[in-house]
Amino acid sequence: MSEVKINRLERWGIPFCDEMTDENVEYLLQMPLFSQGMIDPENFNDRLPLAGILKNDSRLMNCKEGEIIIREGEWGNSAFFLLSGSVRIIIERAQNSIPPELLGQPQRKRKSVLEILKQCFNRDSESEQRDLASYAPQAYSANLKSSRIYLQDFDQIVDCYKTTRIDAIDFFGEQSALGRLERSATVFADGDCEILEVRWQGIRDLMNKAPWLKTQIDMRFRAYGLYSFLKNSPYFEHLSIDENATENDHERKRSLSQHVFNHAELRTYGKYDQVDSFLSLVEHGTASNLAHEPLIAREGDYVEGIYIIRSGIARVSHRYNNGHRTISYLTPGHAFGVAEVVEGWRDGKPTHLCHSLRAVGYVTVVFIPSAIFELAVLEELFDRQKNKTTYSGLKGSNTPQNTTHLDNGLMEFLVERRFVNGSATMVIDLDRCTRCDDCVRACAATHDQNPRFLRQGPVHDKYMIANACMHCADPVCMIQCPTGAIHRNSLAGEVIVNDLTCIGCGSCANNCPYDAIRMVQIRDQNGNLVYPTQTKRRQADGTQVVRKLTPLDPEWQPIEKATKCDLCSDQITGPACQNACPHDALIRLDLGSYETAAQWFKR
Amino acid sequence: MKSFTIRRTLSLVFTLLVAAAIILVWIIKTTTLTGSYISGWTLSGMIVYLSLYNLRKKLPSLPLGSSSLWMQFHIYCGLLTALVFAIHLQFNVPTGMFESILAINYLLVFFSGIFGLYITRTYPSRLSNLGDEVFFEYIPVLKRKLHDQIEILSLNCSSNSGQTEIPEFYRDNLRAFVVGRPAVLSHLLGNSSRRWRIVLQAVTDHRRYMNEDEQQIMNEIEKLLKRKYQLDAQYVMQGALKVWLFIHIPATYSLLIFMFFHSLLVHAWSGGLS
Ligand code: HEM
Ligand code: SF4
Ligand code: SF4
Repeated sequence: MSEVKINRLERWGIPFCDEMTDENVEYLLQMPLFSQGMIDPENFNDRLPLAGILKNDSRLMNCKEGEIIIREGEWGNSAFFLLSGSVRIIIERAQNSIPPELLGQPQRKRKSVLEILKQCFNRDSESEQRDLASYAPQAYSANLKSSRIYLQDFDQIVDCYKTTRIDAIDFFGEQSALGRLERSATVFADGDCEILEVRWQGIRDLMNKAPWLKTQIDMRFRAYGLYSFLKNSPYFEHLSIDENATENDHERKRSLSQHVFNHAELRTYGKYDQVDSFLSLVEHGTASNLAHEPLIAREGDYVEGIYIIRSGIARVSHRYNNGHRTISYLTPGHAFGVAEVVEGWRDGKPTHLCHSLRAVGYVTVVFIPSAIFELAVLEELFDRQKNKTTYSGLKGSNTPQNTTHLDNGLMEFLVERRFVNGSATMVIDLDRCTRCDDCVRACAATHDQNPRFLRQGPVHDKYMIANACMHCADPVCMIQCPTGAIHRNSLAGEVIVNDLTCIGCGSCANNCPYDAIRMVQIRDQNGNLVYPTQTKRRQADGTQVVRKLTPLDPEWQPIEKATKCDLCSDQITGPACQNACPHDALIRLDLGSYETAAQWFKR
Repeated sequence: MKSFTIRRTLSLVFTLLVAAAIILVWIIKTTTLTGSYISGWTLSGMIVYLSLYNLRKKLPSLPLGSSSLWMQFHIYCGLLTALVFAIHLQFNVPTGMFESILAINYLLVFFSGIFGLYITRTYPSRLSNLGDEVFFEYIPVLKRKLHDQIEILSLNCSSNSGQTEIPEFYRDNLRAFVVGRPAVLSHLLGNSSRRWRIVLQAVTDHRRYMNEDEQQIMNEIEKLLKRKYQLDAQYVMQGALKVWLFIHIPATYSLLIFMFFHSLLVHAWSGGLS
């Protein structure tokens, strides 16, 4: 039994930032955001008081001019309330956005060669050993504090890049924190400002208790979400304004863009935080009955416009006998209905949809009415008289239907069980796999002697989808994590568990529909199981009582942590499993990218 | 992504080119004594390289290149050793005791490699055709359970359905299959379905004499028998995929040791390279 003191962590066991003092909280509560009814402390109950959320789920930042707060492309798990001062958001993306050197993108942390060597030869130890000293709260907070980075040439950047300013009181960053998406823009401080950063668990609670915030976020979701999406969509690339365009050109493009923005709609399908139904779906498959999948557009209906997927996955299907045959699946950026709109426009008569589009899980879609699409895209890019306008001439018409084909049964299997959600799905070709388990051993060797997957899982034809984390496009495992321990790596977006803040509650393991998370009992460096030494209980009056634990208490259970595949993000070789397979049987496949996936399946 | 056919063709062409080069060098050097040195050192170099694969597998987290790349080089380099070996022996059978053992050891490694390659390329699809993925380590337990289930079904059925021949039929026709060891050779050679067909035929033939209830029981038993057949096949093939390495690897180690002494002896006797 371990001598080291360790307690079972609770929701607020490890605060987001340990520098938040009661004075800070007092100070915050005086600020207009909380004192003028926007977020009203009265609405919160004793179990989840506003002061508690502020103290444990947030941190206060004082930023100086040019300090970078959010970087485009990173994965963020928190949102920001601008309490005073102002910030700037860079609104251009892609080739027009600030080069990464200027943003001081942090380097990915990988093990050093020495650490790797140690790991190679340290094979006899017990599995899942931990250095308990690392669980000290100071150690964790030190981990969190990132070094501050400032834009080198502030004035020049403000001059050269298109930015928009937002002033206190306001908030930003909630879209990606709540949507489990990438940050869509870079944000930096415009002069001194005070910012409250709240991790997403806190935002979720704030939203539940503050109707103002919820309405604002919903509104923003529609307006900004739409704006940033249209800005980056390849369909509307020709409307972006470049230097050598004439004044006239500018004007026309601007008015067309505005026109598109005014008429486009952001629609959502499915429930954002519903895991239960999703779980059972994955477990049981769905056969030919697609009734449970919200319909986005119905086969045979008159074409009203095009649908561009913003997030999530949608199934394209075709009525077949008594069921629906899946033709393909669409991932963000792909559009549906373009061919039909083009055809209708070219032939000058109404057309009907050839396929249905359904939401697989939670999906957001940008809908553009036919008339608008014709005006802003087709009329601009093509000559109707030529009568040769085809859909493939369109930029961004990368819809997979017309390229490499996946075997139909395989596709049904991948979509039905929602493996297409995976950005690094472990696929094993059983016709090549010699069942040698080199992959499993390599995984164990790189992960505390405990393999993070089993060579086991659903099989279709000769392909096994092994029970390894697929690093989902929409990681539902994160939904109920109380501490935010399971999160997306800000750099590459792998879904990883922060061992220090994991309280072992098992929510993620229960929520993952693919069985990819295992709860394990940890051991100290002598190889002994670790037990909690005390427990805290909050009483009705809000005070906490601490009680010592003895082996006779029912709470005297070994401490557990969630473990899962981290895609070897700290290794220098990339995923050890794939690297170790002698027979090219195993691959980590991005099923969101239909083309690459289809190519591999066809090799 | 390169298809396997393209990869195979390219590697084979490359290997043949190297083989041609080796033969050329051999033709030039064939008459001189140094020829043997060159082929000897080439051969040992290749063998050491081939053996390093074992080390590579033990260090999965070092950036030493992917295992599948190693495997490709291993296979083609391994095949090439046969040519260098033949040249080194000047296409003769060795005479000395030590040399003979060394040669046999080499051949053991080589042919076990060929055998391994053959089964690693053919068994996986046979295993997946069987369906029902199982871990090798679980198979004995699963078979034990299966055996119990079958016995309970077939031996206890007399008590609830009155007079029945099933226990007798089981004892005479099925028990040997159920408790018996798997037909290793036929599973290895891939013609085990014949044996399975015989069992199945016996069941089908006997069904003539059964009533409704007995048919029901027999259906259950048949399902379990099929599973037993699958588990046997899984066990034998997965076992073979593991066991061949128990020849290939230890033989590699002994080859390295013999090789070392062989080179010592040769240099000692010849007084070293001139
Ligand atoms: C002649 C000298 C050879 C030597 C010294 C040698 C040595 C080795 C060693 C040390 C391994 C590593 C096994 C492990 O650690 O798991 C190995 C694996 C292997 N060898 Fe060879 N080998 C030789 C020739 C060949 C040949 C000629 C072939 C076939 C053409 C071959 C096919 C294989 C295969 C297929 C494996 C991989 C096993 C697996 O991981 O599934 N070897 N060999
Ligand atoms: S743990 Fe499960 S839900 Fe979460 S990313 Fe991995 S596979 Fe997806
Ligand atoms: S390493 Fe490759 S061949 Fe071996 S068990 Fe894993 S997937 Fe199969």
